[in-house]
Amino acid sequence: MVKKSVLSLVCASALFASDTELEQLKQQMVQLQQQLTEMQKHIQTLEAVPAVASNETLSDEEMLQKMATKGGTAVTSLLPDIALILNGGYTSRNVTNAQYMNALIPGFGKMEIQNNAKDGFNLNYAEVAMSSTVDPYFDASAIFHIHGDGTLEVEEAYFVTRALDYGLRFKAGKFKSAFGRVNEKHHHAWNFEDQELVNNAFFGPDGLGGEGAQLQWVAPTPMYVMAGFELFNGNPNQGFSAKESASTAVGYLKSSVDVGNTTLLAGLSYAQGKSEVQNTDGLGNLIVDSFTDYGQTRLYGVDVTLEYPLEGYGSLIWQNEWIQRNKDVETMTQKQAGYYSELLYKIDGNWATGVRYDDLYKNVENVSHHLNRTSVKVDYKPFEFSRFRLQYNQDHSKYIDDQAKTIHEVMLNYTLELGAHGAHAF
Amino acid sequence: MKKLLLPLLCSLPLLASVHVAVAYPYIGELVKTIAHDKADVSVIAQGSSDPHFVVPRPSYIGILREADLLIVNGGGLEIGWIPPLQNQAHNPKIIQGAAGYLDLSAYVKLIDKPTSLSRAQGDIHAEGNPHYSLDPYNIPVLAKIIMLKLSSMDPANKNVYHANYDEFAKHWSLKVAQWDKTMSPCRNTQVIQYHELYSYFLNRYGIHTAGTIEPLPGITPSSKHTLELINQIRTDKIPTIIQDDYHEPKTAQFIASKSGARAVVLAHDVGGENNTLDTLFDSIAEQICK
Repeated sequence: MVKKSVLSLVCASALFASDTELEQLKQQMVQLQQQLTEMQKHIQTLEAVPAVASNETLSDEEMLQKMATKGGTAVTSLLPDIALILNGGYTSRNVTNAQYMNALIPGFGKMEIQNNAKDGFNLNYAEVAMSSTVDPYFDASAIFHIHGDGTLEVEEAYFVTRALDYGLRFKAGKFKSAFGRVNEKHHHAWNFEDQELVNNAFFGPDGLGGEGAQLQWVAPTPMYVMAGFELFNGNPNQGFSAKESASTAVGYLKSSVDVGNTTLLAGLSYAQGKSEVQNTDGLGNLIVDSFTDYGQTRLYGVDVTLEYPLEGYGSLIWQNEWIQRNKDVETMTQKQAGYYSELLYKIDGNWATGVRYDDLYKNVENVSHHLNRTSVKVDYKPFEFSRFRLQYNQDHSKYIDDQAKTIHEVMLNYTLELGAHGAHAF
Repeated sequence: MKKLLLPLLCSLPLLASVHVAVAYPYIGELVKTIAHDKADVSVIAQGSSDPHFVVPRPSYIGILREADLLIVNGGGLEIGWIPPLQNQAHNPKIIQGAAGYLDLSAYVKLIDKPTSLSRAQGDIHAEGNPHYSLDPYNIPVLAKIIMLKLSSMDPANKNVYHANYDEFAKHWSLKVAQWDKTMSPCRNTQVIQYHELYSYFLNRYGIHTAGTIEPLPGITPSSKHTLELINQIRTDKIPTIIQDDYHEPKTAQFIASKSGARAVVLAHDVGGENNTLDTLFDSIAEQICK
């Protein structure tokens, strides 16, 4: 009984309240309508005025002042550009993980495997890249790889000059050499998921480079001609002796011309350092961390790339590189050489495909056949900053348990670029 | 002897005294208009290709190596290709912040500056819409900046640059009056664009962009979004679809055939048939407002 009367009381008061509110609303509506008609009038008068230069333009003095201060650059932030790049995927092979880890390339030995090492899922790395202008004279960059197993690697950390004259630029720190066509490029910018065989065999997974210094010169000609010289500490992982500091020297000459719509880029490269050979015991097994130095190691490289643009966002790229190494070993000079040739078809902004043939020839005498590998890939990019890549390799370059073994591998990888990452060169 | 040498030295600036590299053909046209033979101009991108995605060919490095002045559109439009070329050219005259680097976007007001930034919104430009050069009212502003820049770099020819600018400004105001007239019947109409490329032109003439064929900036059209557009065009009776000259035209044609709207293909920069700024804007105005 009490409940009912309370309820009706509440209802009545609610009705009462809504009555006064309704009045208020009506008044507000009338006011709004008045405002609207005023606004409409205002719009009509505005529209009647022809669209003459209503820009908020700067005066001549303001323009000149702006030019004098910053060259008209819109500086948005003083923080370095920071990017995070994730790479990982799923790999399937016809050999066990243990076999794959111990596989060797005759004449070169066991290869360090950084990416897609396991059969199954792999998180290859989270790359953290930071770069910025330091001051009017220097730019600096640092690129770190955090691997799936928690190890951290400084891929590169260097500074370059901004203001040298005569077409010169100086770089120092830890960085990848510009020897050849692909050595300088980072994993996420590679055309295939794995490194070209010849680069892998001669320089290891990180490529030629390390702590060193570089001087590059661009010729004052309309045609692009660039020459560079680099000096690095010797690194045994790259086939050089570590005993003498700063003993690896690199030099190269690159040039490019456009023939009609086609771009031709070609380069000659040379590297020289002290030889180092891993010692073996009486049974021929390699002794860990035991090396002997012998004379010189010399490398010669030639690279040729052709790019033909297709309608829309497509292109055809034919990229080739050949490297020979002459390494003084005991009483003789060991000569080894290899090359790759790859054809890439970028269909549009989303899809790309490619084939690659890798070959190591002129190798140790007891290996009769060429050590080669054939790769096929398909890339799908949903957008500029994400890419999925499916690649198949038929690899005839590895020996497992002293037996030649053909390795079949299928890799499905993702690469995601987050944040501010500088655009890549050609 | 001295008397002979002096006029000889004075005549030297008659040869092109400033080497100018520009990102896009429309900037090249403006420089030629202001400088005539007092500067030589090298244009990097082609007028018929996507201004966002230019392949940074090594041959362009030679152009930048030799330049005294690099003029860019700015607003993030060249972010994917000018910085690597600048890095490789080793020319301190034209790096960002140097006197020989001119970013035109710093002198005009950019519209549609996003209030929040996330790549989930596609390829958005943090600075705002960078396609400001398609507003005919911005062109004389750009010409003036170029005139002032050339005058400060090459004071000997200051009067020439000023005179050429005055002549151009006079000519342009007549052309603008024509386009104002051509466009006036289309005020308060609606269009669909592929990408928000013509927004400055459309805003100028009171035409509303009701939608874009790309679902988000830089994302290829999806069938779901395309169907939504067709319905929108039918219900709102949107008469025109504007297609640029570098994206695939099939989606626009499909939408046109299903909705009854008219699809027009427009140039966005100088080149090909529209080999001057006059003809470029003539063709844009005539095709949008037929």
